[in-house]
Amino acid sequence: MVIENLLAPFSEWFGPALLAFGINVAVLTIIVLLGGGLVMMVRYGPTVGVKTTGKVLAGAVPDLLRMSPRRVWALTWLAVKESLSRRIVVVFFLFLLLLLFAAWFLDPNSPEPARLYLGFVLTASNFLVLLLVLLLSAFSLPGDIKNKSIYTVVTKPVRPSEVVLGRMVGFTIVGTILLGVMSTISLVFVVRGLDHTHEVAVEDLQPAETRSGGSILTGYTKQINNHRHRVTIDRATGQGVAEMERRHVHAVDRNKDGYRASGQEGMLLARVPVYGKIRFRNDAGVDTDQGICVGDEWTYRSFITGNSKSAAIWEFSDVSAERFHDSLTVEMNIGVFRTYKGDMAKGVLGSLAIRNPKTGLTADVKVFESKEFTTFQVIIPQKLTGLSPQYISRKIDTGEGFQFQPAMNEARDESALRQRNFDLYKDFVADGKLELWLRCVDGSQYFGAAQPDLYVRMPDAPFWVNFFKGYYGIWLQMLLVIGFGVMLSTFLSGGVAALATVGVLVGGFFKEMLLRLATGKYLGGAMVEATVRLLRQDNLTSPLPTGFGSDVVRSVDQCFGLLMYPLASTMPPFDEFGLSEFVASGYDIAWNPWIVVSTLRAFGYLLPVFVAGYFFLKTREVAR
Amino acid sequence: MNPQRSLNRKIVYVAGMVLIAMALAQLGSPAVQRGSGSNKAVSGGVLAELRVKHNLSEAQIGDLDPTSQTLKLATFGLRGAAVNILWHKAATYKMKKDWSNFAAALEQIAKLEPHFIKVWQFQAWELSYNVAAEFDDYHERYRWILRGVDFLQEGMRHNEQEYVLVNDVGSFLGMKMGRADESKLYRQLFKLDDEFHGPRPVEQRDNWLVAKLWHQKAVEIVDAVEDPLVRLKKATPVLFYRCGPMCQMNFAEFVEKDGFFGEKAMLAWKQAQEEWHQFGARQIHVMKDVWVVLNDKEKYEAEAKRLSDQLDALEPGLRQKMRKERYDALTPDEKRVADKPTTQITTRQEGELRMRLDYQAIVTNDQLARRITKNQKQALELARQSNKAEEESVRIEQERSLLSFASWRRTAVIEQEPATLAAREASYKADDASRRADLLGAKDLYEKSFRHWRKVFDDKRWPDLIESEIFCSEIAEGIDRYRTLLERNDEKLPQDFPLNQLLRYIAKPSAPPSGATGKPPSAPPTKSAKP
Repeated sequence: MVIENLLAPFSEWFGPALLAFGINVAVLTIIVLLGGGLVMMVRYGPTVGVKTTGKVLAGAVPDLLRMSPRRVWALTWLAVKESLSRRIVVVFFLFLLLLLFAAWFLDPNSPEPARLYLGFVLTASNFLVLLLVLLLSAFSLPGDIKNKSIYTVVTKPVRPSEVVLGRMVGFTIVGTILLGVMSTISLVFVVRGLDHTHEVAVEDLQPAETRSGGSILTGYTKQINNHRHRVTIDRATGQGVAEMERRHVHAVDRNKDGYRASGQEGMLLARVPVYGKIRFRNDAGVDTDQGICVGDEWTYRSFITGNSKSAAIWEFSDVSAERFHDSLTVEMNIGVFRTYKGDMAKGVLGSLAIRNPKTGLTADVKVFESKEFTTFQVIIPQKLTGLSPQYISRKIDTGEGFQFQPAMNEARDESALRQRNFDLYKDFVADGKLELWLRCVDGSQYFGAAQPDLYVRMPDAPFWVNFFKGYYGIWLQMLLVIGFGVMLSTFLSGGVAALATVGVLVGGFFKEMLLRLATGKYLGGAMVEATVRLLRQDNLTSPLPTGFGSDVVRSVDQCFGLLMYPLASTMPPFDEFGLSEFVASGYDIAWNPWIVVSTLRAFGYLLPVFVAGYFFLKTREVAR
Repeated sequence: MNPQRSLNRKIVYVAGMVLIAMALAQLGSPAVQRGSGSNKAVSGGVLAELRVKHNLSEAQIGDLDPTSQTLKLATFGLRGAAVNILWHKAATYKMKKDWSNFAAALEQIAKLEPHFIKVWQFQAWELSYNVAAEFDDYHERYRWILRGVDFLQEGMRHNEQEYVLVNDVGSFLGMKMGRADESKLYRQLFKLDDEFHGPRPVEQRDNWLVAKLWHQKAVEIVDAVEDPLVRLKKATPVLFYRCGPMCQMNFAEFVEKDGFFGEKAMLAWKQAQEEWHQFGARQIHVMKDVWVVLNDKEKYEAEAKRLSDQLDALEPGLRQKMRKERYDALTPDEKRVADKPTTQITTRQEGELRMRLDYQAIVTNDQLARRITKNQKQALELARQSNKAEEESVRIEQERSLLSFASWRRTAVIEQEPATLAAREASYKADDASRRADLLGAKDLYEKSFRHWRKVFDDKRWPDLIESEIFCSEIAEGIDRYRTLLERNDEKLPQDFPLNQLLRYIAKPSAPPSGATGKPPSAPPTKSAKP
């Protein structure tokens, strides 16, 4: 599975993230204080200005710290009842309608139907829920203010902070219930939609012999859902298997009419990967951060040269017999780049080796033919036999020369080189660490790899748990939309607040693009330059003509960039909270870092949004 | 505001709205069909009638797809924007090699723009050519080629009158599968692909034969209208009609490449000859008011010659006399250039002068007829008819040259000859022996094939065969392989090598540029300015 933005584990992430959060909050507070104070001083004079600002700040402390849970809950319940009165159930029926007609939109020929189904339900739920909470949160307070029903609340002894929090929590409860129902229905829809069996007609089977002389039947199943499987059945036992097709297999059993394939296996998975840290080794045998670029537009994978010292090296920690038992199941999904076609009937040869990071003892455990865009599995047993090991030292460029690990003069156990049988954990794991080396054997051919492309697979997690974890990502996005919607609605009218929230949502989804636009790194330039290019019918890469006009265009864009940068920086990166891709690709969403870190990040955005919402409402006439 | 003015304004507004509504009703009323069969009449708004007249209504273009219609409605008029976003997403998915999402995005684009032919063409090409090439495993490559073909077929369903997609299916199956480096592997998979072929018999599961069927289907669509040129739009008609017969040629070629000679290959070439002849006999509308029959070139040439001879017979020797007069009128310098053999003309100035003189030397039928004093009326008529026949012949030749028509016609005949079949079989077996490292066997077989080729080249029926690049390129490759084989044993080509003549022709430097020889590349006259 492709993971472009790898999150660091919680222990590594938390310290720097907390520091960055603290700095941002401090800077924001200072800017708001200075800005607010300045406006007050200009409007009412320095004395009154300072006094009023101080008063607002002083009032904020009890408002924010002494909120009553009882009053918050009362306001929450009010928000829930208000939401129900707004016929939010319509969204639920819209979702059901989408599911009913989903088959129209889903490609029956997709090679990965599970991915398509899961992608569809998760995307549909995501957009519907975000749309619903956006409208709910943005129109609620302005509506109350407009029809004056807010007075029934603010005339009671409630704090503005409680009003804001009550709304946020209320809408969150409504959204959570809706999302919960949607996720459950989606799960049923996906499981039922993908479940199928195949008939295996006796007349479609041909007798054959295995290499060991066993008698088997081979042939194809009947076609269903636009695919069929090749089957191999042991004639003696009557049991067999329908081979991998569209990412699933079936077990085949004899019944009274002949044979029948059971339900699909392998489509709805939650693989639990354990990732190592990747480094590369170049043609000269020196460690590097990156491999070779083969000119691919997408630089996710780095490449290693075939038949050279080049290798992609993953270092795994906490490797032990207690954790992985009697074998390591390694899975890889590597890229292949051929500089010549060669024999197209065969893949490019590669090898996977294990290495002891401390002693340098290295041995190939598998030589394989490459297969691109599929997950290739290698099982490394604890008891390894028939290996031909060698000692390899890692060569590290320290800037002042090369350092070898282990050192070249370090004593080696030469008897190990004559040994053929080894114990994985005893001979190749040092201090819980093990290295896996991927090498390309064929000369002038290349393998490409990124860190998530090779992992050790643990026993699978339950799919349904992972499915709900995927929905948790949507829930976090929902939380952020509610936060921004309520905050913006404290000082904007309903329509404007909704538009502003849409702006935050879109800006958040395209945060990276906005930052590149603001910093002038976007191909084709920012707003004015892009307009000029459109009018001149220039392509994105040709330089603008030199001269005063172009200088003006760039300067104007830079000015826009200065304004856009702080705005874009404060947008929450919505897409990074989306965990759907894990579910759709069949990978478990790890609690650490994905769930924990995503949750903390979401609340990191929500806290200042809530405080800002409180201040905006506090400064309004209705809340005083 | 004055209440009267306000009322007036409202009346104007309402009147304007009524007028616009009436105009809209006139333009946009839906079509209503009355009667049935040939008596069917359509009435309705102007736009509806125009749609029916030009076969542009959804139901006439192709199948109505409820999904497509729903998606179009769901975009609330922002279909263009939605397609743009999807297109961008598809490009990103392709860049990131996310093929499932890429294919899904294409499906959605196609559903939003089901009648935008270029979308179907472009994205099918992406699937069959660009995405397929990304896969290292040839099975996957094959699968993605067929996904492109499926995509085109889906497009056909939505655009039943569009021949381009049908023709593209033929091209993808033919050229992509047959001419790729992995063509042998693809063709094997294609034969075994029950899912694609359904009940089609195994012997007909050849990519070229299936491609031919699709090209024939495209021809049927084009021929279904009164003027095929309208439906062909910017396509070159002769190149379009050539596709089917060319597939049969390629099939015959691949029968031999698969190692089948004798009757099977002979019959395949015979069929190719027959289909090429039928193609040549077709009356093709090549441009406005111009129709050609490719087979008729020789007929018009003979006709032009016959009429020209009749013209010459009216006053024998006059043409030569006129040519001499023109030569005599030249300056000494011009005469020197006109008398030079073309190979000795080396400067640009001389080349240009020679070209002008060559043109000047030609006595056209018109010029000749005007000089004839007796029976001038008859002479002028003969000149007119001869010129007309010659024009026809030139026009046909222009079309034929686009596709090496004559060369392919001759190839189909020669390939049926026993000597050719024997030469190809020996050459195939020699390559096979060479692969098996049976060098002596390979050498003998190559020599056998060259002896057969010699017989083919010596045949008086095709004296200029040696100049045919189409025919000789593969033989030349065979000679190279034979030469490499000899070099391994420190041997050289024997002095009496049977194809020395071919080698000498290949080794000849290419003709110098026209400026140097004074001979225009496509100038009709080849006669010297000298009388």
